[in-house]
Amino acid sequence: MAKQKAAPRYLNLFRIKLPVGGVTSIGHRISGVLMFLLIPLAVWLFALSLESAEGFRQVNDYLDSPPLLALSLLLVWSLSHHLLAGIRHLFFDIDIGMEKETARASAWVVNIGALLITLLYLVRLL
Amino acid sequence: MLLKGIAMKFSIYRYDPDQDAKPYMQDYELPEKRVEPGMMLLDALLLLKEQDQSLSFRRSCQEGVCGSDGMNINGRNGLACMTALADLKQPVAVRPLPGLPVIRDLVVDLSQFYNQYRTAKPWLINDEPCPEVERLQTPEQREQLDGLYECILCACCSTSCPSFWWNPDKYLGPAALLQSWRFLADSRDLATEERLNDLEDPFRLFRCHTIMNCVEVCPKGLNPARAIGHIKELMVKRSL
Amino acid sequence: MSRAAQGLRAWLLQRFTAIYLGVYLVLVLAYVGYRAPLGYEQWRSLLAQPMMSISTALFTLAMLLHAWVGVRDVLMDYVHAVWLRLMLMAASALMLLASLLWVLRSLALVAALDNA
Repeated sequence: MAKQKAAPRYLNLFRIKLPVGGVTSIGHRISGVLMFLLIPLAVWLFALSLESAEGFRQVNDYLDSPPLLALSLLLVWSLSHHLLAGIRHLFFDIDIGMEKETARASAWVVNIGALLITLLYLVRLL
Repeated sequence: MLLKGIAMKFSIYRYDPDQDAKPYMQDYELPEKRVEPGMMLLDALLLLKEQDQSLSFRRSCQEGVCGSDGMNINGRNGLACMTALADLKQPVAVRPLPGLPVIRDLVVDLSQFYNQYRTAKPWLINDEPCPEVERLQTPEQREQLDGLYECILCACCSTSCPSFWWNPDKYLGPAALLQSWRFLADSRDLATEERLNDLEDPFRLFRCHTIMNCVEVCPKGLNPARAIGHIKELMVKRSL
Repeated sequence: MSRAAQGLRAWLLQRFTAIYLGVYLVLVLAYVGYRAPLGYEQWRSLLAQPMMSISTALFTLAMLLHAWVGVRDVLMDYVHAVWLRLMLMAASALMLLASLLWVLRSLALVAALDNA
């Protein structure tokens, strides 16, 4: 009698196709987690900026520095995607836009919209 | 793509628990003379089985009503008998429904799926004395069941749902929840309170994050995400 | 803890805080964007105003609760070992509470020193 081994489950996420709404959804989660992890940094910068004129100047310098530029772009994308995807969710909650075709369209709008906002932020910075 | 005069290539997930340490993909080819217009994937699989008798998959009605031949086709869940070969890029990758234990080749163990279905109590609960004739409904009341009763329990939706992948024992999944709504929406069912009480915990219904993969793959065009939304709405209404 | 209605409560809380967060963010970003660039004095006096101070405090509370439900959802989905999930939830709660208190402290200091 062959040794009992656990049956395999097919779960290769690289091969299973993710529809556009699924991309919106995982982006919503990733952006949420990212912002959660950035809360301590954001709170520290907030407190520093209010403490003194020197603190305010320091925060501005930090935000202009290259490593924080990348971080601020990530934050802008996270905020935009999470907000737009969140609004899509709230419409779903009142039963608006839940048909397959409409949901796909709104997913595209969210995905592209967030990237666009991030791009605009980058362009205005430079 | 169905190209006339060209053999069609397939890559199919194989696993025999008695022989294989782990699953692998096996290439097959359907000779050009066997490829005909209007062929469905199931037709092709049956022909490939003539080439290789060991290839295993479930099938029955061949017309999209029994729900037996759900599988992952080129990355997307669907019924083999309703998926036209002409719509498929080659090599056609055929894999079992994701997330469930593989018994053999394309045959998965649907026990967890059926367990969750049972948990939703998919039967009419009405303890009032039976009337002389049927329990009557107006046409409007009957309409409430449209888009819900047609489910063939093929499991394409639940096995496309990430939340079901991560918690198939605690989250009911789109199919079971759709059936739950089917009875909540039925004017003849009187167990609304109990049904909603059963679903209010953090796992059974609320693992649904409206990802909507279920809607994308349902071969009958049903909308489990929307049904789940209706259940949430009913829960909120009765809590106010 | 009773499981009854836990799922519904968390879901409602997430939705209500979401609405407040969204409205606040859009209004404040629009205002700050319009008045940019802000100097230190303007920034301070903005946050010293009672309306702004209170709504920002509420924003931070809403963000704490919203993030809490979100993180809890993520942990419930992926972390099946109960003890590990509990520890991560506790650590998250601590971080969120500390952040709220830090923000409240900053706002209180600004308000106090402004009235001095």
